[in-house]
Amino acid sequence: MVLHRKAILFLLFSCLLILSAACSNVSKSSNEKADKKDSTNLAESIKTEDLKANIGKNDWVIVDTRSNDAFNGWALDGVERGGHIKGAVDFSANWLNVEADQKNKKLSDTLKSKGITSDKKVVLYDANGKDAQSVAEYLKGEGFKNLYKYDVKEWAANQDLAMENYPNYEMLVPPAWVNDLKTNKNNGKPYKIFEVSWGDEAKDYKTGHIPRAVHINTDEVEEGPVWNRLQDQELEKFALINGITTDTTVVLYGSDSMPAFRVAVILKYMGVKDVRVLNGGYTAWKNAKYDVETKVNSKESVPTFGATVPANPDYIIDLAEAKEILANKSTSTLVDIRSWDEYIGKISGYDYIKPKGRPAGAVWGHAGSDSSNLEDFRNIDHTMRNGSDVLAMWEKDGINPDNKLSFYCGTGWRAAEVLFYADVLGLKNISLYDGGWNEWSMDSSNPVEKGEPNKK
Amino acid sequence: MNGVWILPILLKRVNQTRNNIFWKKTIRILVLSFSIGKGDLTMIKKITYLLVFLLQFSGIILAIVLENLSSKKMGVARYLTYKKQEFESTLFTPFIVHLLMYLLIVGTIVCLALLLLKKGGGVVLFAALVNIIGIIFIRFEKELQAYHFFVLGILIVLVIQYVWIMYFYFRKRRSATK
Repeated sequence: MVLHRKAILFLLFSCLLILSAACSNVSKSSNEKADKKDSTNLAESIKTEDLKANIGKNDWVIVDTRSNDAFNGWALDGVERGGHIKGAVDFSANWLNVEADQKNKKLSDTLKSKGITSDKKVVLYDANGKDAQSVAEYLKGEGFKNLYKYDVKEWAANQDLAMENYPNYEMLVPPAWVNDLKTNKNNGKPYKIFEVSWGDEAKDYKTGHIPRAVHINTDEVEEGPVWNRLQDQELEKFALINGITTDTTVVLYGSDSMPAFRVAVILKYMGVKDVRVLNGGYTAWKNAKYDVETKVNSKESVPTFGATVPANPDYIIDLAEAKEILANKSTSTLVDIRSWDEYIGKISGYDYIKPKGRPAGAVWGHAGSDSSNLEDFRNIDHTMRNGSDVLAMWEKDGINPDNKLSFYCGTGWRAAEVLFYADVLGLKNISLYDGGWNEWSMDSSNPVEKGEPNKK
Repeated sequence: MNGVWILPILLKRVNQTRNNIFWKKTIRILVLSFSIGKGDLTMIKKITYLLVFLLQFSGIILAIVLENLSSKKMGVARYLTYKKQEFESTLFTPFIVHLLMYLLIVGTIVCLALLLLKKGGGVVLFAALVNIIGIIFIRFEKELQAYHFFVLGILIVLVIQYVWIMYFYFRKRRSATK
């Protein structure tokens, strides 16, 4: 009898243990589920109608989290129409993966400058279901609470809903486009891919480059001591040696994109009709995980260029035209693309330029921290900055984009990049003043200003 | 560090050519230029010789470094292009370059004459060599990016070498009068 009672007690105790274990498992799995739900659903979805109703409201901000190329106008990730929702700002998920000094500060500053603040309702949209999530996680960490997600494919599919893209967004190309160009061989039309950097040694090129790319040394298109472009006949020779005709699709890139923009502007001046620059440079190509090769590809020449150089002479101007621009301030502006310290004459910015100051009457158009950087026109991943931001910045500087604008810097590299961006944005009557401050300062009879400009 | 390795070899050469006064003097001067461990020199003398050696060849070393960097760094290449233009309009005008050539030719002739008259040793021979190198450089190496820095470097070597010659000449005269 005692044994029987002990058996019943043992059974009851065992049942209790099993029950409690089962209960704890259930609660644990439900907790895990809740956690998972929390991490996968940082932002709730928003419907197209609701999004449409809230665009433009002060307490709402619509954020495009896709790549800069998609924002600019390229239809990527199966989206029917390229570009961004009208009224949206950009904050790409790619920026979160960039390795940069003071990255967190730069990202925080970017959020602030684009009006993405935690007191607003923030709609994050993408087309791949990943970008908005990445940005949502980042914003959650920054204290944002009212986050919404949206799939831009729905918006793009409806032709009645407004989308914006830059008039010449095709000039800046994404890595996927370059890869397609190689794969389909530009549909039988001639094309060339060039890695552009200074020097014959081509250290960057030899480290690794886009398959089939050929190195261009910037000294092939310019010479000192002024560092202007070469004479037109010399430029034509350069084109022939590199196998470039007016009908060649030319894709340029570099570890630093600035030399690529410099050559791109010169090629457009010469008359090459289809000149493209890889947005974000070689880093963008590597991040996209496309093939890379280290084999040195030799130049393949062509017999004729196909036009008299320059076919587009107004794209680059010289000293005399720069003076004309300064003489007609009501309709034209000479825009200084150098750092503020260079503009006010605190520094020259270069070891090989001694005079300091600016051409009298030139207007500051922003640039970057020094003569090698252009942060004011680039995102943290070195892609092109949002065009609306650039135009707003120029409006504050007193630069009217409808005027005839000529950009200059020290020797024409930074200004060439900005000219190219202005072209992407569809600005008309734009040019590069090639000689820049180097040429202007060589003749002491040219009027020079220093210090902060008088605001009238 | 090179001086440490070169020293025993040079000293051995001195012993081998003990009977040849000319070579003995020549190699001794080279030892003075390179050595940092010869026993009969005081520490102050050693340091002085080392500093003079560094000073004498600093211009050449700088020029070599700049020439090397000119193919690697765009900033250096452009700086040298700028300096080339500046030098050509200031320190190295065609007239001054011609004058310099004549001075080097005269210097070479004087040094060779001294050697023929057996009034100079290694210091004079070295000065003659630098003069000849200077003439060749000015005439044939204009394509170098750091061309003017090399010429300046050679001139520094030459000037200090002439100071050495004067020093040895006066020391010899003083010891002869004692």
